[in-house]
Formats: sequence, C-alpha cells, structure tokens
Amino acid sequence: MDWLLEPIQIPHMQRALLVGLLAGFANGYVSAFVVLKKSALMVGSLSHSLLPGIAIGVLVAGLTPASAFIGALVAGLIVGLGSLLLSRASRLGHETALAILYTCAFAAGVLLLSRVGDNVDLNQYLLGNILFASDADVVTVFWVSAIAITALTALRRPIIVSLFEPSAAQALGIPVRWLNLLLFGLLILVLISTLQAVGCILAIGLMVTPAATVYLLTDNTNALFWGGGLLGAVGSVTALLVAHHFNLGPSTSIVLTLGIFFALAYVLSPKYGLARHLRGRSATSRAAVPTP
Amino acid sequence: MTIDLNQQACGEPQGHELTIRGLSVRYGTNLALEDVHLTLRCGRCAGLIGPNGAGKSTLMKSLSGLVKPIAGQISWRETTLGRGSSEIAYLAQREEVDWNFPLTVRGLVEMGRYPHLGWWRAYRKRDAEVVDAALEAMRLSDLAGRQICALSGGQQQRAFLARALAQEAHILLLDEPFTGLDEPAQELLSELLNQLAAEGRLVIASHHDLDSVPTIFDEVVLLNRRVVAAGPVDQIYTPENLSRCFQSEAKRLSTSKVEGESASPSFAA
Repeated sequence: MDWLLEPIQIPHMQRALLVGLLAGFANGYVSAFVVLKKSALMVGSLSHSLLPGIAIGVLVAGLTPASAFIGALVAGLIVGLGSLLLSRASRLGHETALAILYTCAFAAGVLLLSRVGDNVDLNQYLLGNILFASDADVVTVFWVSAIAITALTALRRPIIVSLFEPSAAQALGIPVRWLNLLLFGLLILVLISTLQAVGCILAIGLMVTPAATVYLLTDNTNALFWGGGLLGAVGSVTALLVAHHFNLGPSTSIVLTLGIFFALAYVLSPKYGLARHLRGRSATSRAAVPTP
Repeated sequence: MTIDLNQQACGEPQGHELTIRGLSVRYGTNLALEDVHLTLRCGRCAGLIGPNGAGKSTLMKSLSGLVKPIAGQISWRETTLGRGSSEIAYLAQREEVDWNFPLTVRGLVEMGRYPHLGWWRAYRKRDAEVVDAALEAMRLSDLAGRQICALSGGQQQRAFLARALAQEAHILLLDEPFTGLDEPAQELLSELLNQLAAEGRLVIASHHDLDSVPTIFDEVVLLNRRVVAAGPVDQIYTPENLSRCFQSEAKRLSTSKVEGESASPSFAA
C-alpha cells in the first residue's frame, strides 16, 4: 500500500499521475480510431512533424504552453494536409508524400531547436517531461481529452460507418470527408497534448498500442474504445509508479509497459493470438499434404 | 411481436417506377455512360448485363449518388432522387469490404437503422424488431452474434441484404453479388432476391455469368455505355441482343437506339 501511497504525497508525482491518467485514457480511446482506420504510420509521421512548429512557436512567442501548442498544431496541419495535396496532385502515394514531408519537418525541427539554445531542451520534447508537468499542462490535457472524447463519442455512429464502408456512408448522405478531417484534427489535438507526457518520439506508442492490444482480444467495437482508454490509463499510471520506485525514465516506461501488455495479448489471446495462429497454420499445412 | 417487412415495401408492388432519363457519366476524358434511358418498376428482379467497362458499376453508383453524372435525371416515384436517400441501398462488391472490422452480423444490420435514428438518437424497441425481422428474413437469426469475418460468401451477401432491409430500402443495388459463391449459396441468394422483389422492392444486380441470367432474373438490362436493350428476360435476352451488347467498340458507335425492341424469344444459353 505504501508503494502506492508514498508517490501520491509528492506534488510533482500527483500532477504526473493525473496527466498520465488523462492522456493515457484519451490516447487509448483515440487509438481505437487509429487502429480501425489503419493509419498508425500516419500518426507516427505526424508526431515527428510537430517539432518544427514547436520550435518556431517558441522562437516567436517564447516558451509557453500556448506557443508550443499553436506551433505544433500549425505544423501538424501543414504536413498532414500538405501530404494529401502532394499525393493528389502527383503520382506519389500518400504515404510516400507523408514520409518526405515529415522527415524534412523533423530535421528542420531539430535544427531549429538546437539554434533556440538554452531555454528549450531538445530531449525534453523528444522524450517528454511528465515529471515536470505544470498545473497548466494538467488543465490543457484535461480539456483536450474531454473535448476529443466527447466529440468522438457523439459522432461515433457516422464515423464508424464511414471507416467501415466509406461508399455506403456516402450513399447515405454522411459527410465522409468532413468527418475524416474532424477525426484527423482531433487526433492532432490529442497528440500535441500527449507530447508533454511522453514526447514526440514515443507519442505514437501511446496512440496506437492500447486499442491494438484490445483488438487482439475482442470483437466488440465498443470494447475497443473504452477498453483502449482503460488500458492506456492503467498502463500509464502503472508505468509511472514503477518508474518512480526503480528510478527509470517515465516516458520510456509508459511505452514499454504498453508494449508488454501488447506482447502478452499477442501471445495469449485465445482467438487472435500467436498460439491460435500457429495451431491454424499447422492445421492447414497438414491439410495441404496430398493424400496418396 | 414481429414486424412485417413487406408492409414497409411498396404498398402496390407494380406502382412505383425508377426512371432514368439521358444519364451520362464521364471519368476524366472517358465517357462511362452515354445518354442512358431506362425505366424499372418495383417488384422486378433486374439483371444488369454487359462487357467489362460497359458502365454497370457506374450506373449503380450514379443511382446511389456516389458518382455525379454530367447530364441526365433520375427520378423515383416521380420525384428527383437526391443523394443520401435511405430508399436506396447499395451493396458494394465483397472485395471492397474490410471483413476484419470488429463487427458482428447484428451490429452490421443495426447500421441499417442509422439513417432513421440520425447520429445520436438511441435504439428503440421498434428498431430492434426491424433488425430481428431483417435477420429472420435473410435466415441469419442463428448467426446474429457471429463476426462478419467468420461468414461464408453467401452469408456475407445475406448480411448486407439484411442491413438493406433494416434500412427499409425500396431499391436494392448489388454489384456482382453471385461472384465467388458456390452453387447452393447462389440458389439461396437467387431465391431470396426474387422473394424481396416479389414483396414489392426493386432489385438490380450486375451479373457476368450469361448462362444463369434466365434462372435468376425476370428482367434484364443489356448495357454497353448505352442501354442496348431492356425488358423482360424472355423477350429481350436473345442472342441477337447479346451480340449487339458485347460487340466491339467500332461497331458500337454505329448502333442505333434499339431500346424495347425485341427479337425472337427463342434464346437458349
């Protein structure tokens, strides 16, 4: 019990746990859409492309949560929408265009941040600073999580139909394109608020792994959303406590904990796990042997 | 209590008309459909026949509002058919569906209620009853809890048909529904489609197996960018009309309008 209670006495751990809980839940919930949309790579690319926006935001308006937030938002939108335009106006695939844009953006971000100098620590943005989360960070994460989860829950019906079968959704008059843009915008919002918790590089783990884990365990779409949120929150809080007691890096612990959950689900899932897969494979190979 | 899905279909089966006038669709520089005129009535099961690239899918997509025509008018019960009408259900080819989506058969059929529920409203008892009746009509009640990925090809088609029934659609558009089905599944699907038509709906399905056309459909539309011929199978489905429909590009241009004309009804495939 002390193991749990002792860290809660410390103010910076309180804030860190609160941010972990909120960001973990919001990311886990949103990760269901990422998994269903099969756009994990896109999220990874976007998380890297936020960096130059943050650097420019800090250069222009000084280091405040607001400047970093707005900078990241603009950079994310430019890279995200830019890649769509680039792939539409040329023969390049969307992923190719995205890969080019985000690596350039990331490089520019590293360059800029190293120029900005003392007041911004590059590592802080790459690996996160959840232990130094301020009250303002907690408030930001709270509102972003609340907005994203409310909007996505309210619009889940049309969003799911358009993810499952865009043509049928369109035929029913659902504004598929607008919903996609909204989904995209909310993903970027949550991603930016997560930056504080686990940093650019690891944000993708938090935004993909929880629902991907649940995806291996259930066939229920609802379980994917709420289960993803729950797993994200529980995983983040557990990881923070473990990291505190064993003196580990908090962000790496969060992502690795979620990774361990995923590995367990992958190996042990009764329906979609490794064991089942191997059993299925050997059954088919036996069946494929021609009978004399 | 069970819901009678038939009552939701047309009251007088023969009374409702789908009319297409002068429909043209262009993809880039390619004219996919040119001046298509066609009238189909409720209560019919119509086969859409034509060579590859004849515009079968395009015609169905324009009917369901997925493709914007450059000219022409589509009217249903004498009013212009707009996009987003729940009167029409479009069943895409099976390859176009993500079968790994975590969804049960019942969940899929419940999607058919969304247009009636709007985006937020909760399910009511009547919605559940309509879903039950749709599952029952497509003989899927036992499979309601099953994942869509664990269905056979024929069951997958019936699940999507059940969704169309739950949607209370009058016009069912099916893109190559018989492709890849084994014989018993084909027979069952054919029986169900004809049943749905007999109850007063209009069923339109594209089809490529020329031999089975007379056993499945009572009406046929021979399409090759234009309507080559359309009408009851026993009058229209003749070798002459078929060869006109499947002839080469050069000859097609010289084909005059032959809509409604019929040759000798002696065709045996």
